[in-house]
Amino acid sequence: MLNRFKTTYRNIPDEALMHEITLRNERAFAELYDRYGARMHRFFYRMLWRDAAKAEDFTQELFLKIIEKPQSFDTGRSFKTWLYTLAGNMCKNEYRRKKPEDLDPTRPGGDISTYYLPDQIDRQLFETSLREAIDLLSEVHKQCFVLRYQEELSVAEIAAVAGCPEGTVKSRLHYALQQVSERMAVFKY
Amino acid sequence: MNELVEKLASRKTFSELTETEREAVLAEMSPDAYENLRALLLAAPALDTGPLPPAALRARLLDRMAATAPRRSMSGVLALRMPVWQAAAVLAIAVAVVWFLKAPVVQEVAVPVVRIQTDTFFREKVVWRERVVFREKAAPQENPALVIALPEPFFPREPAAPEIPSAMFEQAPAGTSLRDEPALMDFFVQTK
Repeated sequence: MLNRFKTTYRNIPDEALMHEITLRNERAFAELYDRYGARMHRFFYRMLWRDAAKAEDFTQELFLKIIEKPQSFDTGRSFKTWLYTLAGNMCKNEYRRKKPEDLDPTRPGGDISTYYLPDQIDRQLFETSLREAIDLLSEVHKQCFVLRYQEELSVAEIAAVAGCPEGTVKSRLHYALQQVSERMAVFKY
Repeated sequence: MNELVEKLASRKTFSELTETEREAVLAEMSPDAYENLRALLLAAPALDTGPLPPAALRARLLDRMAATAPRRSMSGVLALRMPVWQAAAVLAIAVAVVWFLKAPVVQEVAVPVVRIQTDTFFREKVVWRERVVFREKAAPQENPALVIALPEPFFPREPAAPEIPSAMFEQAPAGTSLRDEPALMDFFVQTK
């Protein structure tokens, strides 16, 4: 058990904080939220069509799960991958619930094939196109892409999150990168 | 697209690659595709970082956590109920433990000793004596000469009752029969 008179939890590993949360330690939960709150909000924002309200709702729901059922976390495994697994499953459910036609067709990006190719990189245009290319990926490929190149998780961590072998993750990443690159190939440097 | 190319793309432009690295890249893709990949890898982490979660979300979650945390007050302790015998047992055990662990009290008593002569003397003092209880046990004697004859049993007789002479029962009863006194008979049998 951690020393309750400690003034800071900054050097405590995530897994130890989770153990404290099972003992209903509020400060441990506050520390864990400070570590992962913004990060998970950003992950939901990226995965759920850049909907800030939805990202907030999902972040709240995710942390409520930690509050209500902290014992569901196995302290023998990595907290980070467990958290991303939970978040990924929530996104999967949302993908199943939301039909493709419900998506806002006027969201930023549009059809990337219509973009004009300037000699000078138009950063905003580039980012819009990249965003669109990522959105066109399938659910599993998008998850792998976001976790690897945006959340910067390792291949091993993504394998733990997705519950599949590392080889599968590499294959998915290769495919995702290839798809996005092909769609972005209209930009020349 | 192997991991080496991906790693190189995130660090160097195509022109910065060494000859060996360039060969490895060109085996996989064209220089344009490499630059395209590099731009993509550099732009992706900063893309769609989105707004920060509102501070109210943190406050809500902390409130929820506080609401589920057990209250540390005396009311919970006072609300505990237990059978009387358990309480008594706990109390008795506590007293026994305290008594057992208590250090013995040592009191010094000054004993005046007067030396009446310069000599060694011993004083005997019984500090412990075994308690002996004697119990009688019958021991049969094997030698008949030593067998002690038991006294004859003595049954005291009751004093004999005086005999009544049988002639007394043969004497005629004294008095007059009602048969011989008709007036007396009428008196006894009258019905009015």
